[in-house]
Amino acid sequence: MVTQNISFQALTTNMPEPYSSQYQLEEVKQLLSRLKPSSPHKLPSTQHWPDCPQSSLLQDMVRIQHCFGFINKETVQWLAQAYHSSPSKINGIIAFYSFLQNEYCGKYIIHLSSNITDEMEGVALLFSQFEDFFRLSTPDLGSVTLSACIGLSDQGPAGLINGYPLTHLSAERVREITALMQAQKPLYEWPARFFKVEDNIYKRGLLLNHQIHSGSVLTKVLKRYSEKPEEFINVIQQASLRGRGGAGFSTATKWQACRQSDNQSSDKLGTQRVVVCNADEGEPGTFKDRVLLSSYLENVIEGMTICAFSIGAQTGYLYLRGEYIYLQPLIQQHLEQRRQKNLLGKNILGTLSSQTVSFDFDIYLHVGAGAYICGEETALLESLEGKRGIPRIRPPYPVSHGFLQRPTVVNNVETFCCVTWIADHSAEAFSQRGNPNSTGTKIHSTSGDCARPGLYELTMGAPANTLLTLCAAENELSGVQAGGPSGRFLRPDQFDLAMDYDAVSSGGSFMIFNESRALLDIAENFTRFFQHESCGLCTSCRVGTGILVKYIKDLKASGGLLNRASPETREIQSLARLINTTSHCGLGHSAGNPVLQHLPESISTDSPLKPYFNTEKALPDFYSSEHKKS
Amino acid sequence: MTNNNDASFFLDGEEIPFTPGQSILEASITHGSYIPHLCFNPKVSAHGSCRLCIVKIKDKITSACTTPASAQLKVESDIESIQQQRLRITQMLFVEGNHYCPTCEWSGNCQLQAIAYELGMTDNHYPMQYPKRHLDASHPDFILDHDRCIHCGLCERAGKELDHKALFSLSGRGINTWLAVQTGEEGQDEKLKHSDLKPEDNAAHICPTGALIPKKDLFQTPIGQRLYDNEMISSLGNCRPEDDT
Repeated sequence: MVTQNISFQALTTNMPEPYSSQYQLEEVKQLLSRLKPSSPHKLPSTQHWPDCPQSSLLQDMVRIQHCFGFINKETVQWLAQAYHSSPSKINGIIAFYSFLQNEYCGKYIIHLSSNITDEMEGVALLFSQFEDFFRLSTPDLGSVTLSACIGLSDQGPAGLINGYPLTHLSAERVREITALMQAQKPLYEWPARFFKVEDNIYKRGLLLNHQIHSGSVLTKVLKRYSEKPEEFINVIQQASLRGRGGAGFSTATKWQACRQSDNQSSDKLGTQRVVVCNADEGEPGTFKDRVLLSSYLENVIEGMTICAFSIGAQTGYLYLRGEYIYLQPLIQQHLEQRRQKNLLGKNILGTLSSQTVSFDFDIYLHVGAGAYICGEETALLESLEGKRGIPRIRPPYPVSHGFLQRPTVVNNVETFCCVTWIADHSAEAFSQRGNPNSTGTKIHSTSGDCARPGLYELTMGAPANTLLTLCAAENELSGVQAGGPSGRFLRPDQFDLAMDYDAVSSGGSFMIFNESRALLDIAENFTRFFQHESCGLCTSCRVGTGILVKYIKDLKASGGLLNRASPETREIQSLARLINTTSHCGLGHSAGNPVLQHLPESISTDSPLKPYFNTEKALPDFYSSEHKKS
Repeated sequence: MTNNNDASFFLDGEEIPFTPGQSILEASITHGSYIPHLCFNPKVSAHGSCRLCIVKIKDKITSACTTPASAQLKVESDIESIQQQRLRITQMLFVEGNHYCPTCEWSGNCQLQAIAYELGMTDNHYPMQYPKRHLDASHPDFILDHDRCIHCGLCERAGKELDHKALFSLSGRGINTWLAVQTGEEGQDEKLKHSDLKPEDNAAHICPTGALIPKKDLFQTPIGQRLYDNEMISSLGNCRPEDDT
């Protein structure tokens, strides 16, 4: 087994000192002005966002947060002036994104992942360990909060400290960490092993075996299609490629629609098309994009460039989720290298000495700040424009009215890797894998109760059984959650269903639960996740998800004893259905799924009822504690 | 029917003409047919947030304010399942904020209250959330009571699209969303008096609830004789007392 690791060198470059409760505006200005657009370790500078100053504002905020730990009042005032905005508007944006704060939270800010897999590995205890430590230590030393899944389910319990990943946390590791914090040591002096992030690839298929040289595939495409770039879209069509983000929309159809849209941008620049790579991998239990971005970045960027070439786009954005901010130096460095090789920029590769065609294209990195909803493509575009990530009304669709109302293609990281593979090989070779409706391969992020959590690339249509064998899952399972909380719960008798777009469609998250896991706990964790990530636009999701969490808690408190016909059971299911049917966007449409899927399971007659309060177990404890007292 | 079939759809069997680009809700309002709604006003762009205008089209539920009208579409609105869901959504709006109708100055003129009457709401159904929100009475002409705000964003859009100024903005996320007053560079206390809100602004006369209402003269018309006290919102439509004058 080969695993590649994110180089610690890249990770530690520019690790900031522990945060301080006070910083001067001068320092902020220095930080922002020091950052040249080409600087490999920094976020893009204002100059890269000439069209959209508000984008640049959000990026400045992400940068200030990352370097200073919070955005102080003076800085908010200054940003408001500099960007012709208002402090209240800026504070409204700060409050939307989990990772932005306008109050000092201590020298060390820790976010522990509260995904169900981390919970199963005991993150709750680690959380109280940190909490107790901070409570008893010097004031303002640090803070710990539980956050949504941070994309490290294969090496959890995991967390982030000042933006950097902490993996394989244990009580022992937490003790070491708290000692270092007590001594107020800067992160770059901490042991490298704390920050070690592994790729954990256990099964390679087309994509994970595909190593390319910078520009090699792009050169092929430019040579063959330089006169008629749009013909490359036919190749994608022949490969029957569908989006890997979960929805499974035909990639070629999307590209074609964008290419054909002549919607003019409002700034009279004519039709400016945009390619966006959705690297806001937020579905709990998914981490494939993290690995693709750290070890297959070449393939991702090459795919974006090929897409831009065939649809006639000038600009590209890679929307990186805030949880992966530690990948940012790596990505910036890589983009800069490609600019130097003329694989990005003006007249790419001299557009192979063509007299008629000049292919100009550049890619900018945009870092998010903790909001699952921004994985929804229209919310992502809002966030890319520097606003709160609220899903737009569709139609119009991004292919005609996307980023800044420009025709925009938004594709998942893995989809772009598929594009590169198809361009390097052939549409036929790709469509031979899988079945006619679901071609190629799919990378599954596998976690939970198995011996080898990690990445498995399987042919489309492979059943869950295959994956369970490969990852050495435990023998007695209660089920598998395919596609994350918004996806589908598979019972053991459904493990032979094909994982493809027809049977069990999944964005790639595959969480395994052994028979000791209480389904109601899973439903509660997932529903809490939706409540936390609801953007707040529509009534059903904003209010409904919170009530649903309360209902589940009440149910657990009452002993979790249910029967099918009880009014509580019907009420909770009817609320879940209401949220699913009446919400505005995809998040709301699936926010009721955990309840609808796990609740009937926990009360079904064919599986034994697992009460929350086990009298037989509890009584000896009770008697022994009573005994001690007396 | 004299209408060109190409440019009409059916709302519960009634033929509704539309012009291309109109949403189902907009066309219905223009035609004088009622679909319950709160966050929509024909004067500004759609928001899709209150979810009261949900309708059923081919077994799929969608909001009428965000769905473009198309020829021959069969839209179901006044059916029991949809009305029941609307009732639940209205109840959610009630438990989310603090709506004390009996003492509210806007009682009888409030569209939220009127919709509750319309849907036959007799209880909250869901547990009350009692959020801590504040009352902003700093402005000489208007009261902004966040307790009664349903985050429909109408004032924000009216300010932006009709008055061409940034007066309000929905802020934060999820259940903690709040309506922030845009205060320019005056200060950060988000008080209405620091905003640029003027009595003649459209934004000041668009709130569907009692969240943003004029000061003074509030009891000129006694409770019992107000807009929705004696007439259903389905026949009167969404309006405010000042609309008549």
